[in-house]
Amino acid sequence: MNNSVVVVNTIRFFVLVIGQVLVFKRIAFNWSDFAFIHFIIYPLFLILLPIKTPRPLVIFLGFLIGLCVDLFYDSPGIHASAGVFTAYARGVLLDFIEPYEGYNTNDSPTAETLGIGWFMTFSSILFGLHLLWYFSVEAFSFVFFFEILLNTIFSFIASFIIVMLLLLIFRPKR
Amino acid sequence: MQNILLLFAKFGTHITFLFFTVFSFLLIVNYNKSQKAIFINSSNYYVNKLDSRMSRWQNYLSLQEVNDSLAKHNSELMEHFINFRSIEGVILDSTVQYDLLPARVIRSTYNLRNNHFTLDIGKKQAVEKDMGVLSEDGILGIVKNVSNDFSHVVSILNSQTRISCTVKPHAYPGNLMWKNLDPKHMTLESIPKHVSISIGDTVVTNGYSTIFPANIEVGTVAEVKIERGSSNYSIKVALFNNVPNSKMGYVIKNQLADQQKTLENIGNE
Repeated sequence: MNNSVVVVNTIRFFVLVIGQVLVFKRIAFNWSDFAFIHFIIYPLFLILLPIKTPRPLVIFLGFLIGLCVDLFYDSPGIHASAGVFTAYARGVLLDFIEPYEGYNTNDSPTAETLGIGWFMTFSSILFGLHLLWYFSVEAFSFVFFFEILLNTIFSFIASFIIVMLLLLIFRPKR
Repeated sequence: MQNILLLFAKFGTHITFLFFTVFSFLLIVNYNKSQKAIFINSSNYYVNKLDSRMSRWQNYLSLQEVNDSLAKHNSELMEHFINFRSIEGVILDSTVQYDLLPARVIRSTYNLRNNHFTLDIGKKQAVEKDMGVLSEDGILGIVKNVSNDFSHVVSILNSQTRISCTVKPHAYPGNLMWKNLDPKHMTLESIPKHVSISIGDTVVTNGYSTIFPANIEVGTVAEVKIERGSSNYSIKVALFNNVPNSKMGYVIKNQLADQQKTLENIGNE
């Protein structure tokens, strides 16, 4: 039981990293003045980790997956810091929106186990935070506030649609 | 010791968060301070192997397009060749200063604030740091890192780009930089406002550095503006080439670069 959770998550880790760097990195919509859509899907890994995963471990995994993605984006540390931040925010958020009955131990937070409404809130907040942090750190200065905001909003819409499609297709159980 | 363990049990999450955040910011800051300190860059061997395999697939799918542009480019070169032959003796007595090394672009970014790309030639083909890279109809970037088989190039679509350029009939030097996130336009600055410049004028490199030869056409003037209180123009330049779409690059090897640099350094000392 415990073993299969580890295996499933390891596979998910690699599949998401490879999908991100080989497929989604290469998709970009550019109209003449409009280059704000980026597809960033790998935070899905952090969202789908089992709820009772020790939180320091979640943060470490966030760092690891970010660094793996960074290797391919030529930006050492940027995705890693976003991953760390998302992993930390995940812990805080889980405490914050805990359902009345509490969580079930080995569950992953999915739409099946905790309801579609809860899951949408949870994942959209995490995705939004991740993208906001990522674009802020990438610009590294709030002079580009407007660009950061546009990037975050458009990338959020694009990435979130893709993530929902992926979830619909694969329907992860844990 | 026990206290430390207790502390970790209580605040472990926060401590790990702080630790990894600090660590990743260290990475970022080191990376931003100087391109030389890029610790995991695209000269990285294994990453490149995977990438070049992937881009081989992509290249296969767009072979037709590349073929067409190569054929066109070849025909232009042959034209030049024939023209030179016909006036042989007048021009060909000077030494050949610039060599072009053709290379394939195996990966590139163009939608970030600081863009880079990687070419599939390196030290083995005599590429060195600080060489310029051209495309068929414009400039692409400057080589920053070289490994045995690959070279890592800072694209002109980079917030740190400064290329010495001028507007065609005049010789006033200006700096070409990339200010907005638009891959088709750049900004030319520090050309004094008493020079008369009109829309549609050609922007060319002026050859003041050893990186790019003089008179390479970069783009046309698309918009002329004077910032309030400034005595210089801020000129929007429409690039001739489509940087994101470049599949081939030509690294310029300047045979006389060392000579020029040595001479200029004597002056500085």
